[in-house]
Amino acid sequence: MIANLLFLSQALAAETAVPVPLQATLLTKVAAYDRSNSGDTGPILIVERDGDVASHRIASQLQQALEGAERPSSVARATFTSADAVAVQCAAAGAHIVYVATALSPEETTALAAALTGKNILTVSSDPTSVPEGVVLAFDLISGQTKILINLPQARAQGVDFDTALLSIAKVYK
Amino acid sequence: MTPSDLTELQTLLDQSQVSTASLTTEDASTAPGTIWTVTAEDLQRYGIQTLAEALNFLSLGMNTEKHLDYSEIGARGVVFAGDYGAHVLLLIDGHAINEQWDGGAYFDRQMGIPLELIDHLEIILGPGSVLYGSNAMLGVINVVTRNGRTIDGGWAAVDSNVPSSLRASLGAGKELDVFGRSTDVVVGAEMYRSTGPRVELGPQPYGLDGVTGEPRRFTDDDVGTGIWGGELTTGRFANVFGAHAKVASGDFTLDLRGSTARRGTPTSVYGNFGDRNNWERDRYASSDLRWRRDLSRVVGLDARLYADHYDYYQQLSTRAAENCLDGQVEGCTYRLAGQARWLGLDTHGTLDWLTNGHLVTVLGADARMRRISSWEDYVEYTSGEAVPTDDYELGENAIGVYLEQTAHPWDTVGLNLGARLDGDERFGTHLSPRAALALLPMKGSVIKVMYSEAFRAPTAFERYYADITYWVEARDLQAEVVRSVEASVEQQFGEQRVLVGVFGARWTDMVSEEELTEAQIADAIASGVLDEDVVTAYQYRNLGSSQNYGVNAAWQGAAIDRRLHFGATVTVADWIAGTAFALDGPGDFAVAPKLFGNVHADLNLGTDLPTVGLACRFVGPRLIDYSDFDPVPKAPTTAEVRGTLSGHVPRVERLTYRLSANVRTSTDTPFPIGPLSGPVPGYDHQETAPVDPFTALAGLAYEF
Repeated sequence: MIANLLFLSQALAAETAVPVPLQATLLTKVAAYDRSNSGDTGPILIVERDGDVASHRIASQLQQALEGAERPSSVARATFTSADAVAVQCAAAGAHIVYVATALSPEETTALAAALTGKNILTVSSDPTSVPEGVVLAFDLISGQTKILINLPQARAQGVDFDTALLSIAKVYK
Repeated sequence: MTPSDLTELQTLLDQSQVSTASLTTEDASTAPGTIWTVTAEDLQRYGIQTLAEALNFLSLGMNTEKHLDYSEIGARGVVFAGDYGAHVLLLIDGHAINEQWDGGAYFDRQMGIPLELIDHLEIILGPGSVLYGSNAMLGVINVVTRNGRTIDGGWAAVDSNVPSSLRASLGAGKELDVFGRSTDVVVGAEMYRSTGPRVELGPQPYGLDGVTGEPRRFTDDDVGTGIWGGELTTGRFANVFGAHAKVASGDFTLDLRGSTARRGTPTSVYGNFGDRNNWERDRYASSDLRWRRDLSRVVGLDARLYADHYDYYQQLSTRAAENCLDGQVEGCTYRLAGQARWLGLDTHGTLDWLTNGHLVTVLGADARMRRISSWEDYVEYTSGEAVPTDDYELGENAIGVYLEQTAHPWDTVGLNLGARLDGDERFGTHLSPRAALALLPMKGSVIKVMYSEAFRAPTAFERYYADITYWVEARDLQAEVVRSVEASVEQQFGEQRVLVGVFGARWTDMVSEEELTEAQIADAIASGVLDEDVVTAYQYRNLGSSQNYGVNAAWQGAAIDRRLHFGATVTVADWIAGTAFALDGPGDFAVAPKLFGNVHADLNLGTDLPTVGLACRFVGPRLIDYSDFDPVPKAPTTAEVRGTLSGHVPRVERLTYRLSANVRTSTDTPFPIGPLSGPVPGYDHQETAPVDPFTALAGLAYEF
């Protein structure tokens, strides 16, 4: 697993600072610190924006990394149309983790947070700036090292209960 | 049930992600090269004030040596004294800083980037011309600056190397909504002033002026004493101002940078001792517009349009007739100016064939136009008449095309092949290849093997400088070349990381100042490039080849819930006997240490308590840069220890402090000072430029 990670570089780096394959592995590890689910997160729903090349590339790269991992995750794909639609897509797929592979506007982020409140769904974004605005989790590159960003109030609102051990090593927005 | 052990997750988070080695963001341990990163937190915890100090106290394989008030830089046992950093490529956010007149870059205060703007440093040891072209012979250093999103506010900071210097820094960064578009903005500026400290130099009994036959004048007095030296006070000064701005919106990023640095040169043997009128100035202005877009799942395109201006000015006032032109017996002021402007476009396409980073091609081109000019004159002391002695202006074009192919055929194997072909009107063409193999035999292990080449184009100064009193231009100078092989093994043990590597390099066509023979001087006089009465003259020339080799090792780790960080590095290097440009026989190279390294540790004592940082660098004996003493003297083994306390000021929100003390075991450096380089009656040992044995730093920073 570590070998896999070390080689997976970010060749096309327009949208994410942290290489997507590294995000994939971090995501599965971080999810394990969510005490609200019993270990079965269902498939990971990856939502991309239609017509956005970068979003499509991130989504495809993430899917490949998750499905090709040492412990593969099942993946479902969907297109972002609205926040309410994402909630419906999560329910339909049985997913408890949704990765938004595009930058959302502040209004879209707020709507997504509202739509997923109480749904026991972990939202993850490729855009670290969306965490303070309402996405629960993202990864950022600071001083050349990866940082976990967590919006704690939104996590609780969405029914995500991160272990305090994880919170101790993350940058937590309150 | 959640995992109880965070070690594996923390290990993933601690892996440095770098982009300098191959233009793609990747893990440093598998990138093609020996790469070291220094974070902004490291700079703060260890009281680091300049890039030069970061290299000495925290980096692997590179070392700097302070030459009064600027720093010489070397790597892996190789230092080219007097090159003004021209053998290391310095980048700021990927923008090459090495100026185009004399190839230099500054790694100390004169870099002109506020410390608070630095996010991290990426230091690549060894040849790096495959992607960047000229100057990357000893290595590449990329200063990566912070973005507005992570600053999210601003700072005002002031610190002082008590009592001789003062630095003030101001800046801010934020992600803003500009016309509905997310825009990241960073601005920062820094001012630095230093005077002294006082130091006593000499006396050196130089003797008579070679022109007048009278005791040489080393001050502005009409009557000379023939003795150099005294107390150095206000003539030793530095004033630096730098500013940086970065705006990123959508696919575009604009960087603007400017700096001006003026430094006293009170000990130059060509000027009056301690004279505040003797100084030099460097000014930079650069702009860089980057555009980056993914065109499809496979193809991405990057373009960088850049425009830079650099100018240099030096003046030296002297009352010594032998340092002036014929007839200027009362003395003169020597003036030298150089200027370079360049405009370029660097474009590369990235093809991620499998869309997962396993098979990636980078193909690019960097085209540049340069305009270089320089002039030199001697202004007569009494009349003020300026007599020009050198003057040139020219335009040059250069282009480099590069190709890099990375492949990961299996999860445990990585290949990187690349080459760059440079064509330059100044010297012709040069091909710089690189081949790297990385193997991951087991969890946490990386084995790398690499071959790479790099070159340094002769600078405009080296090629075109001429002075009819003592210097012949060298229009047929060729590029310096280095070819290197290296291998390393890196192993991660939980929170500990160990690296051991070996390297060897062959250096050819290195440029050196060579004294002309009598016959060569006669030819130069006959052709009119030297004055009739010249008896000693010089020219830049390409020398033969030399080879060096060595070992470097490093250990980094953390403990006590990561409140304690520590590390150590060591480099041992030597030259193969019988090689060309050894100063004092085979196997010795001036200024370069054969052994150097550092040890550092920092401990966070807890909430509301300071962080204690302790860093120590050590460097083995170094041959003096040039000397006629036999045997050539050496600067002794030296250790330098820096202790730092940093933290939040109690009960004052947003205010932080930093207190450091620095002690050296020796004040001797390998740089001779003064006009005498050999024994004469009353002078029986080589005097060297001193460094301060003790300095103390105090600083405050307010974050808003």
